[in-house]
Amino acid sequence: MTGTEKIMKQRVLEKKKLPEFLDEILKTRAVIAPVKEEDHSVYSPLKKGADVCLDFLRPMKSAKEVFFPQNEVMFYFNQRTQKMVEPPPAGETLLFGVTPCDLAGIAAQDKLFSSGEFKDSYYLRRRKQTIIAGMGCPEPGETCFCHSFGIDRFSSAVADLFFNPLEDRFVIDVNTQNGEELVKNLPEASEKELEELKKLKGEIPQFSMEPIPLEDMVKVVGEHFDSPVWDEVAMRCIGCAACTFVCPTCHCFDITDETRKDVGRRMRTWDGCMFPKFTLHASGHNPRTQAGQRMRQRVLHKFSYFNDNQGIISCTGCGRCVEVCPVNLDIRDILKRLSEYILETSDK
Amino acid sequence: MEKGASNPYRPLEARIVKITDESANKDTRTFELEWVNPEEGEQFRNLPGQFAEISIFGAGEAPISITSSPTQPRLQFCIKRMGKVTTEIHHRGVGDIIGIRGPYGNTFPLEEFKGKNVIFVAGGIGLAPLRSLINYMLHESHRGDYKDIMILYGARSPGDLLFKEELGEWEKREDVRYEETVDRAVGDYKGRVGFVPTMLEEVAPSSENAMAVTCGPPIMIKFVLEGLTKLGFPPDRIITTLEMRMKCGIGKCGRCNIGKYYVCIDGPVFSYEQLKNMPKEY
Repeated sequence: MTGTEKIMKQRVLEKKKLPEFLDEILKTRAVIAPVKEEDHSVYSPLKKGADVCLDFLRPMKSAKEVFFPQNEVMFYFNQRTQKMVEPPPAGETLLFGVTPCDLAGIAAQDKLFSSGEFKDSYYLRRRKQTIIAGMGCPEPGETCFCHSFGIDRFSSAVADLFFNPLEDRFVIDVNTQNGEELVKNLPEASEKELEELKKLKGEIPQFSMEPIPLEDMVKVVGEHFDSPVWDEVAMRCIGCAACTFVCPTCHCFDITDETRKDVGRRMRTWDGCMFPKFTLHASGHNPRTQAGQRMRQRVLHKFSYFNDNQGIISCTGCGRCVEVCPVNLDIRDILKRLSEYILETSDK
Repeated sequence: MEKGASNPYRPLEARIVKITDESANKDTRTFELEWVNPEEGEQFRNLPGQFAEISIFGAGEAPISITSSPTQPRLQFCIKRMGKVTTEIHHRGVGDIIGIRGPYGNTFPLEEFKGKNVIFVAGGIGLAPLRSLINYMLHESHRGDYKDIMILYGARSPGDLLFKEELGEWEKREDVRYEETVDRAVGDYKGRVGFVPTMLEEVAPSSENAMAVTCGPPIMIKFVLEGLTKLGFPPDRIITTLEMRMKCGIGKCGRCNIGKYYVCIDGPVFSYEQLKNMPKEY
């Protein structure tokens, strides 16, 4: 925000009025919000405001799908005429109920897809057409470690609006003009409500663990790149890449062509460095044949290389990878083991 | 979405105007192209060392070095048939349209070569990326910028030597020293027999005020780097170009990531000095 923008007043919305609020917005734009699915929630398009479900700490998959879909048509082509047609835009959208860890994930992907000489037009177009409304967290989950990255329950990062949950109502921070448009008819927050919010923000959340120490990463890259510790921590990994798919910051993708007779489409699909064939050359050569090498790439890319290039660590401590790994690998334990290993080997 | 520059994933159309078989077993061909839309061609300004993503609808894309120098009138790619996309490219004929995205990657450090002797050491298809630099330097408007130019080139057999006509031209030129070798002689081949690193040792170019540029099979590069180092070339005066699995070519998809570098953006041209400070994951 520049100094010349006026400070926009915080608004209030009673929780019981949320479905009505969303129904009103559905009249003019699509709304994507957490929706219940079996025993969890996912970010999904709403048909009506009442479908929104905020019962779960966070949706099972991150919000990155909204801007970086798992499968995306880049263009349709005709092999006979060589003509290309790009798909139409997704349209104006409100992305509602984004947790602070997922907001931080969007911030990291914003950097990647818009940095350098080439901007990713697909990501940026979806981003431009979407208003983001974040939502504060009640308390940390078992696998949460966002506090390792300076993220807390009220971090609003890239959000246009941020809904702070009090007992029975939200106090809404308005960060941009786009956000203001959606809430301008809501009542302004009272002194009493702002006091309550201040008190809530003062409470110290109880995490299941201390923040992870990250300063050692430089040492790991410099001195322990070839150490056997990588094979050790990756031993159980089966290369399923579930961790990559649920991660808010992971951004690797593949580009493939699908055809039926003359017509076809060029698709962008999620991919991951944890897959054994990710770096396989057509000649048969593969720089990363071992699980330890791929784990090393994942960890160092997320906690070191990405930071070197973009100034942000490519992890938001959301804990989804920990929950979803079928062999119970835990990135927090891996990072702790690396720190331990540095100490063990520094005496020698 | 507007087409062209605003969508970096959208290929430009190019027509094949000439195909030259380079190898005796026909697995390597040079494709010469002209732009379907000349204005798009105007925007495409490549420098030696860069590559492009060649797109074939239905098969996908492959990153291929641009083997032509910008001093040459048309874009050329020298492509070895290896996998899905390159096999499809080989099935294309004169008049067919293919897609091109680029130019991508960094370039050979042209300024650093000025006023110096330049030694090229190439093996097999490794000559293709170096050729853009060789022809750039040999062009009449640039030749004076560089001192002695030496080209050391070898292939598995005489039939595998690429750009045979041009090799003959380089050999004839007074301002270039061209030396050749093959791993094994076939037919009435009368030239040198032996591996490229051995030829390098025999010819023993001086490292004084000189830069070396090398490309070829990994095993050849390994021995050539050792050989050049023995001859006194410091790591920052040895330049090479890396091959890596790529997809987007623009630093987004993560596939060519080594350390904090993306081979498609920070490379493919790297000095030996830089390679020494990178993880050995290539």
